[in-house]
This record gives sequence, structure tokens and C-alpha cells, in this order.
Amino acid sequence: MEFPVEQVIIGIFALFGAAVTGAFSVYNTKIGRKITKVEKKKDENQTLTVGNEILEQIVPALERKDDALDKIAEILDNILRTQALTSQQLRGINLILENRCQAIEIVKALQSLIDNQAMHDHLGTSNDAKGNDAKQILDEIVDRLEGNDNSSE
Amino acid sequence: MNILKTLRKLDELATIEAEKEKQEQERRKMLIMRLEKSRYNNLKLFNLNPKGDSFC
Repeated sequence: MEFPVEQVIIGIFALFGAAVTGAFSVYNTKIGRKITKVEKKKDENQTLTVGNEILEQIVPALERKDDALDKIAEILDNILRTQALTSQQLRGINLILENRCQAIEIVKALQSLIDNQAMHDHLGTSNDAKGNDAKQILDEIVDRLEGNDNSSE
Repeated sequence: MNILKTLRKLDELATIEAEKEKQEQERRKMLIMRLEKSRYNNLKLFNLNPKGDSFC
């Protein structure tokens, strides 16, 4: 059997061509898969970036809100503390005022009693020096207390 | 040659995307940390239970 040289050459070229086509096909498939993979990764990254951009806007806003809340809490704390002090002071002042008012009432009652006693003594027997002294002292106390009250207003 | 160039370019793109993903993940982690910190501060400020699910 004889093989014509031309046919052998054509056969070789055909085989070579098929091999090259096959190789190209394999590379194409590989490239196609890689491109799909890269595109998928790019999409995922895009989603991540968009999410991060949104978070980037939300988080500082939340942090500013936290600062504002902290400041409000601080202000409220100060107000409550001040109020506590004020109410304490007010209670103290009230107590002092009550005591003073009671003192005036007691002194005035005593003064009235002494006046009555002095009147009684004057009409009855004689002037009582002790009663007059006590009346004078009480008068002075009442004047002083009333004077203090006027000065405090 | 063109195929090899394309493959090399694709590899570069894949590397860039992987790097970008790493950076974005890191950025997300930091943002989530800040978000959690803010949430914890709010829970602390309003005396709420940090394990509660009802807090948004």
C-alpha cells in the first residue's frame, strides 16, 4: 500500500487544526468561567460597597444622636441635681421661716399676756416693775424680728 | 498570545476584586462595630436589656 504524500500532509494539517481548535475551545471555556467568576465577585463587591455607603451615612447620624442624647441626659441630670438642691434649700428656708413665724406668734402671745397682766396690775394693786421690764424686752424682740423680716423682703 | 494576555488580565482583575472585597469587608466590620457601640450606648442610656430582641 502506498500513501500519497499530499494526503498525509493534509491529514497532518487537519489533525493540527483540530488540536488547535480544541485547545482554543478549552481556553475559551476557561476564560468564560473566569469572566463569570470575576463578574460575580464584582457584583458582590458592588453590593458590599453600596451597603457600606448606606452604613457610612447612618452610623455617623446615629453617633450624633448618641452625643445629643448624652448631652440631654447630662442636662437633665444637672437640672435634677439643681432641683434637689433648691428643694433642699427651700425646705431649710421654709423651716427657718416657720420657726421665725412661730417665734413671733409666741412672742406676740406673751406680749399680749403681759399687757393684760400689766393692765390687770394697774387696775388692781400697783405697777409691777418685773412685768414692765419683760414687756420692754418682748417689745424689743418683736421690733427686731419684724425689722429683720422687713429687711429680708 | 491574545488568549494569554486575556488570561493575565483576567487574573489581574480577579486579584483587584479580591483586594477590594477584603477592604470592603474590613470597612463593613468597622461600621458594624460602630453601630453596635451606638446600640449598646442607647441600651445603657435607656437602661434596656442588651440581650433583648425587641430593640431596633
